[in-house]
Amino acid sequence: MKVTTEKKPRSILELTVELDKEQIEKALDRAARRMSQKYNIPGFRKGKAPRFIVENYFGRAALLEEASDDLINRAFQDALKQEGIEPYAQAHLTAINLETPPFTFTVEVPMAPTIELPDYRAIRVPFEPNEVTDDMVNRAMELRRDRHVVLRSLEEPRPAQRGDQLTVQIETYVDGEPLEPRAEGEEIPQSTLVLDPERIVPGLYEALLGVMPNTMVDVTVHMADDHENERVRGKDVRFVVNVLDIQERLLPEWDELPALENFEGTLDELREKTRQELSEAARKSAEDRVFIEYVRQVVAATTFDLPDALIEREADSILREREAEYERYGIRPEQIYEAQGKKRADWIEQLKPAAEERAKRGLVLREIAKAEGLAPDDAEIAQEIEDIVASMQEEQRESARAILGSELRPFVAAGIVDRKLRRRILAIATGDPSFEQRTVPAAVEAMQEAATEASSAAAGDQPVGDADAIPSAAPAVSEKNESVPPATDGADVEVTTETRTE
Amino acid sequence: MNAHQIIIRPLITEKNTNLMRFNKYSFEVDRNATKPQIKRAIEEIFNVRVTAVHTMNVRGKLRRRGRQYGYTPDWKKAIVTLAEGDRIDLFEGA
Repeated sequence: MKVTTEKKPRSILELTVELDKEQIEKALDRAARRMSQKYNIPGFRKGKAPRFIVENYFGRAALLEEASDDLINRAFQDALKQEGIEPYAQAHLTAINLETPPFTFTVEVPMAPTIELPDYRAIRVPFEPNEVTDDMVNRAMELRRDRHVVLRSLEEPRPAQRGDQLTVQIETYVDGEPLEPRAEGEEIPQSTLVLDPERIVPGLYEALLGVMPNTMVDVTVHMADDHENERVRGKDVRFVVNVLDIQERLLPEWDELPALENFEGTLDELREKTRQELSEAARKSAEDRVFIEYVRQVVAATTFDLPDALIEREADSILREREAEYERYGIRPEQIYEAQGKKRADWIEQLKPAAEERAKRGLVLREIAKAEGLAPDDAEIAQEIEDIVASMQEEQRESARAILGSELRPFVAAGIVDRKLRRRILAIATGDPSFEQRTVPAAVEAMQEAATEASSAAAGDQPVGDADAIPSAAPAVSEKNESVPPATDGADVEVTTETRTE
Repeated sequence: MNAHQIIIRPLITEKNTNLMRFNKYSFEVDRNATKPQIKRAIEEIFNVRVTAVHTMNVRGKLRRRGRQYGYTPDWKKAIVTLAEGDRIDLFEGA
């Protein structure tokens, strides 16, 4: 068997295999045996007809066809072994000639992507955490207080005042069209509004101030040119508000707040803690920015040779993550596809650009981790397992330790690499090696992360105001920060998805 | 009778294929053909040397068509042994 290889773009290796006569004959023998078992040949019991009979009866072409699958598969596997090639994905047969010598076939084998990192250690991204101002602390404290609000219905109807909570039905029109079209006869859903100039679009606030319950307010407001909803940006928006009810919002006294927050300390101490949390959150988001920007720059400077199969695989994995997400809400993915009139394959196609980006990020990160020699040793893994186990409940620890030490061990190792990689990248990007000293066990960091996330949500990381301003356009769900693509990208992501789907 | 009238068709079955290992080939032959005639015919058609001919009359089989019973025709089978080194390619295919 003679094998010739030729490198093609996009990490494709073209493999041309020339088969020996002997190989072909063997394959034909096997095929004849199969055919004589499959088909009835008069004069012979099944499986008993010799090869020449089968060949005479069905013709050589039929026999070759029967043989080719098996023949090519075997020869392909042998060729791979002979050349020491490890295909990255399913190979494609592009040409085949078994009729006349030389008997050859050609296969395109996708190879593992090759990437060439730039001098990634020379790339710098400044670390610039946002300053935490008194104003931000105040606002965070206000939000803390706001969480303990008590609503009280009015004893006597009175005009709405600042700080009241209104129960309303709002219809929003842009250019005379409702912003959210509703089926005929469908009731406008009720929503609540806090009458506060910082939470409501200016104009609407003034119009609602002083209204009585059970009145209609019809007001047109010109939206800011930089409004985040592009459908209303810079336009006149008409609000038709049916005020159903007014409730008083009773906020706790400031000195009650520490107790309400289950905080042991004075109000000033709570304020200090809030400030710390905010600056921690700011630091974290600055780290995230550095990380994202750094990876973006490295990806941009890296030369990639990616097989299409990799991108397809990545797109599939993104889609599977989404499907898992839907399924968590009890929606079958097929329902979504049906509703959108798209097939899964269309989605894969559509996701390809994003998948390519993600695959590139993952590859770059993996390559950096390799170049930096971040693979953890046994002691580190053991320590990590202990850290994770320590955060669990007593009775679960034993089984968790066993499973983490065996089946999940690669994931534990991957987790360590991710964390080290993040710290290392921050250190490289900022040129500040102190980032690497801050090594925190995963469990602890996860808890911290949860804490800072909570506080940043509480502190209203996004500016309060226009984001929530149009009630009907922006439901009162605090939008979760589009978080960093963590170091668990690319290849490791597949891992996470798998564990998820299992 | 010419050679092709004597030799009607080769018999290719599992049993006969196994006989080929002993250089014996089976044919359906004319019912009135004699062993010397068969020998000559085979030698003429296939250009081989025949060392022995065995023949047998095969009785027709009972067949039913609706309510009627009848027999398939009787026929004659010949097993021809070739001289060492000779073979008939017809059986081996092209």
